[in-house]
Amino acid sequence: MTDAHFARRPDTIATELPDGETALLDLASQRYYTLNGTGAWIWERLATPQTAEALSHALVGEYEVELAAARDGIAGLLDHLRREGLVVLS
Amino acid sequence: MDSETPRSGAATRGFVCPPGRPALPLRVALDLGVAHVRVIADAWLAADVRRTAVAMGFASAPVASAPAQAGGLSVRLCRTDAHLPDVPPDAVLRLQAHDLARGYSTPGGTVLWTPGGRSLVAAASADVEVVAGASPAEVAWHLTVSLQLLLRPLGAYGLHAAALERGPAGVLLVGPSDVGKSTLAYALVRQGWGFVSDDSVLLHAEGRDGAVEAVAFRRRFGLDADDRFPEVAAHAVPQPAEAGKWSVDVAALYAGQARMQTAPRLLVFPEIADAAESRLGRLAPADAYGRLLAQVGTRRLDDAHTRAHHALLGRLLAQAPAVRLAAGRDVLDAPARVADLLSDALPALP
Repeated sequence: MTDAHFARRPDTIATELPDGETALLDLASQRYYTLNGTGAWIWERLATPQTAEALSHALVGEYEVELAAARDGIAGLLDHLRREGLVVLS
Repeated sequence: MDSETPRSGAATRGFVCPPGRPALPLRVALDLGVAHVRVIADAWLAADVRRTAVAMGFASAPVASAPAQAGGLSVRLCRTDAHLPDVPPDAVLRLQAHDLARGYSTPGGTVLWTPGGRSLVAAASADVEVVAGASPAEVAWHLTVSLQLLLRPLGAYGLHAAALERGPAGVLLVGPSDVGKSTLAYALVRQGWGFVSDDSVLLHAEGRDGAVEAVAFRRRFGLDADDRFPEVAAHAVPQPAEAGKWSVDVAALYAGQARMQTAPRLLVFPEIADAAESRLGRLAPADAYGRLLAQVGTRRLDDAHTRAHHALLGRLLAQAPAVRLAAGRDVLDAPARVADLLSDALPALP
């Protein structure tokens, strides 16, 4: 799975909220989800297909976080987004 | 674009006014604040369209004397005795079902479906076709929803809300039907608040000073036909879309308080409470977003304007904090208290 590329599903809409969170709306189901600032930053990067490893290294470059923790965090978020159908393997 | 030639294309076939009709007798331009829309209708529907325009409070002028229309927007309505076909499944990109109405995104535009009517809303024009016997409420629904869809390319998006003004600050009362929005709004107008719109507003990105504005869409108030506000009876006509409701010309009652638009600085989500006194509670932005979204009739639409629409909702939430109002009996018994409660929740403006 390390070479798998993840991308946003096209019919999702991200809306910035005033408290730093981002709302993600699944247009088809009309369910919405909220991402914190880090999650929103990762969502931005998923505009183009990304591997989990590339996202983890990018996260280390942006935030003060160890690579192992970044990998855990990215894996957890991608797994959650995939289960909810918000990202797809490209 | 008032040619009576039907449009072509699989997605539009069957959703056009029949060709060869004699002159369409109703030709007016509705002033919707952000644009004028030319409306033409055949003899069968002219009266229903006029009634809707009056009940909504759309200012209208004959087409010949109307100002230049932005984008040449037009709606054409006609009645047919023919069976209205369903939308071919292979033309449907997305379906939005709501009670008896449905909306389909298709390659040819948005198709609005009700049991007795179809609208095809293409880029700058809409054709509405209803069968004989369709109710005035159905005609009113097709006309008002078509108008809202036509205004999306101009950056104006419909929201189920009443818009008021307290001093320089706009206040939106947002929520579904039957939570007392109109009653609360009218009670506040009686307390001296300015009013913009009842029940529906157009959110517009290009307000003064870069603010999101709420532009009047329904300038007359929809109030229950009862004796709670006895003064309104002399200024009311029956609602075409809702039995037992009046459409009240509030501008005639409170001329100095009418506004065309306002920049919202507070979002209020009212709920009826079985309590003597109303109470306010702050809403987190994510909660307010969900509640706001639920009152966007076109929330499932996925077209070229969808992302701009949602960005606008985000800007509105940044501009106006949100509160939940558990509206008690003081809305009618002590409206000054409710007015003070809401005034105190308004953020200080620079």
